[in-house]
Amino acid sequence: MLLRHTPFDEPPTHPGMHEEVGALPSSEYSAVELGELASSVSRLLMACLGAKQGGRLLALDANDHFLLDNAKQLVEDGLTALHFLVAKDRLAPGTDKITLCNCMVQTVLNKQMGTGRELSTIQDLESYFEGIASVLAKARESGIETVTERQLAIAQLFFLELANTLPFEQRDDETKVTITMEEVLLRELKRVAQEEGVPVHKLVADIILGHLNDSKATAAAGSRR
Amino acid sequence: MVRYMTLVVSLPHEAAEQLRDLASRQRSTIDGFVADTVEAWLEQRRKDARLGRKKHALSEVRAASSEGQKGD
Repeated sequence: MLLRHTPFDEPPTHPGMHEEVGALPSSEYSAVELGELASSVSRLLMACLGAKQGGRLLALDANDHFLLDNAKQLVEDGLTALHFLVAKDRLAPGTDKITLCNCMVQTVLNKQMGTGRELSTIQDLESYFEGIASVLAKARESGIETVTERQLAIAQLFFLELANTLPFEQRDDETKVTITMEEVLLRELKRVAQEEGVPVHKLVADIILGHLNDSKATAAAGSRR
Repeated sequence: MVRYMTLVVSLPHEAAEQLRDLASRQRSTIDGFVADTVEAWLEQRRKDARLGRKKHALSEVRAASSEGQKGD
């Protein structure tokens, strides 16, 4: 597969980067998996960005590679659907890919997404998604030292926004809890969530779970006394 | 005038039960309990940042651990 260059892409530095390694089987997407994947990739890219900004080396492990592979596959599947939607002579991909494409487009349409200009045409969208896939492939195959901070920041923002846009579904072992809070508090949470690279609902769930665990530990310590 | 917004979070069944239980034991609503918890967490985060012992973001932790592994 040939990875084309985009406006925010750097020239290739490694000859091997155009070769696809270990292509993943085509997958069916569920909103839960997509949400989890987008959040995890956002956090991983945030970690890469932090390490790069701090001038440190961040070695990617097998789990990181798995995430990057799946993230790249996801963007490519969305792109396949986008190509189908704009060209009538193509073979239709699965409906899940069309849904995925809709989600991806809805996430970025008419927004700048760190690229300096709004993504408002099909061409903008194609270049943008190709760019994201290219950054992920580069990071996966050649390491994060081969991608720039700007490329990482653009890719991270995409997955964060995607995680925020996806209509998340609850797992079988989970319950949805609706919380009402002051707008100013929610705004502060959104800012912190952005800094942490996670969707706000995930950050709040983590804060609650952390607090509940602390309460449990305190209660257990109290009963031992 | 204070404006309110809603947010939907997904919690394990047991945690959601525990949340209801804790909130009622503290004679609070879930909304009030979560707001207090979140505010306390944000305050702690601000305090840590001021004291320079900012709870390191995942980036820092990961970088430190991978450097540690290299040194081992």
